[in-house]
Amino acid sequence: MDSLVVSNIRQRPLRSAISILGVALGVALVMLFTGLARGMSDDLQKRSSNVTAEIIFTRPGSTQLIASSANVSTKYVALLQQIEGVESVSPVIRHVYPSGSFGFDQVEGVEWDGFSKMNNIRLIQGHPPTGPDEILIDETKASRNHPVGSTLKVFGDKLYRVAGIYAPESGARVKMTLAALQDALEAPNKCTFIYVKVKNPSEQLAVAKRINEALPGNKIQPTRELFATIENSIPGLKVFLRMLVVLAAIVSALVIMLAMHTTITERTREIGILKAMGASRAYIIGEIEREALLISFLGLLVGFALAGIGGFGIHKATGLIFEFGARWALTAAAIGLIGGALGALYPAARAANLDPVNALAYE
Amino acid sequence: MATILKADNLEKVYRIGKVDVPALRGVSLAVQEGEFVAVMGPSGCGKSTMLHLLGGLLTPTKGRILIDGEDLTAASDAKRTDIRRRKIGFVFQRFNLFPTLTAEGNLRLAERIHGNGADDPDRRLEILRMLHLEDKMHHKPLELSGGEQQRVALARAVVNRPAIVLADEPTGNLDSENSELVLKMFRELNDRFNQTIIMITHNPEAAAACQRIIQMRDGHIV
Repeated sequence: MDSLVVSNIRQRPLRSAISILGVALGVALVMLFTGLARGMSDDLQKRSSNVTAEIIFTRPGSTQLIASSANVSTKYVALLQQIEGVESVSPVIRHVYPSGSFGFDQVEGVEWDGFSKMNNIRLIQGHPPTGPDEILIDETKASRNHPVGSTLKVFGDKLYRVAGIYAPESGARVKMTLAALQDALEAPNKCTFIYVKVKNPSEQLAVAKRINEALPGNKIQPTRELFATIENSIPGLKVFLRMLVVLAAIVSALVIMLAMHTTITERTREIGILKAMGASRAYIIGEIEREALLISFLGLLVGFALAGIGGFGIHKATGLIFEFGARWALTAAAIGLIGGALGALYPAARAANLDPVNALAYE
Repeated sequence: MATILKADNLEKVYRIGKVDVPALRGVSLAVQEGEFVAVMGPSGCGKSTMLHLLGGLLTPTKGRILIDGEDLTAASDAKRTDIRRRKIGFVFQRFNLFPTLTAEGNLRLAERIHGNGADDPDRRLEILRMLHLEDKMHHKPLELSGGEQQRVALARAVVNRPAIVLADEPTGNLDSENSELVLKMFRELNDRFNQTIIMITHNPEAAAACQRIIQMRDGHIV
């Protein structure tokens, strides 16, 4: 029976290829979208985990995923430094701006010496920015053909020169001096938030409480909460991904259903012959399901390949990060196979119930 | 010899729209094991309907069919399919081979449908050799002549040692030379293996090869 399944698929190569591609499309879509969400989320998490300051001092509404404002006075830097348990503080001004890669990007203005020391970040090439038109970038940004000495637009039309490359990646990929960004945003003596590093990490809650008592009316939160996952920042994303999975399953099922329906119509007489030979209903359904599953399996492999190639190509072109995980790969595989099996069920049942005499007479 | 097929007072009425069309009007026959029987008659006399009833592809409006002791008419669709699988082999006028499978592949398919894990390459080779097809084992139907295709169909019908072979105009699409060859194979199966064969034919020469000829007219055996 396996040879009949394989030979049937080979007999109609174009239709088989289209059916395989239909399944592959659903699989690839699931893999690409979930890979993108996961890649971006993990990248954001990775960069946030490289910020060793435990507390962020800010104002309500100053930071969102795709927006930020400089509404914290830098006068709080000195005040925070005096609070018991605080080891060091570093003001950061963050600007979110429209960008071609994913619609938005970020740049941070920092006092490099204090910031880098606090977060154990080092320069691996070049030197710290000395002027208002110099920036530092991380390795990922540098890998997109931005070596030390090159220029690039960060926001607006002004060109900035890459003075150095830092590692590990931390927060925004592009950093400039605090003063330069304050100037550019016309926000003198302002920042978006202030990192606070405590002397004893086990006492960070106590220090946070002291800060809140000393400087009420502000927002004090653990650093890790600022860099929320992409899914938490965009609540609809989880729903979107689930809907995508459902749609992919439906696409796979419909493609297979149409392919099997056409196949069965063309092979009505063959089904009649099978019945004349004594093939049971279960046998006929099994044959059609096996053919559908084989097409789905091939679609799965092509889908994985397309996702890999697509993800690589998109990453090269745009810098977007994809991370393909086993869980979503299994989900995509299940979608392809189950969708295919379910899609073939109705045509298979119809085939099994064909009248053998009429089927044998079919032209 | 034992009676391998018994049909009692078979009637078959087709409902076409609002009209009842009687195809069989009370046919009774008995076939002994090892008999080679021809069924002849003009077009529309009910030959094919009777063959389909005997093969369990249709259910009669009235009457009873026993195949090797098993009641076909009282059986459910699944049971009829099971009896057909175990007891009956079909040969059709249009060969009805699977075009994507080789000659051996068609026989193998029959074995698989038969079930019980049957996979007997020696048996397949024996059958194909007997039908002078051993050189054509790996050829697909489109690579075979009409006579060769019909012999492959015959091989497929007998590979599982059915109690009865039902042949519907097996030489209808063949020239005289190939017809003679196929009929010779039928006779050989009957002679060597005591295979019971019921064959519908328009061809008097084909009927002459049989041990008994049943004449039908207007849904009756005459």
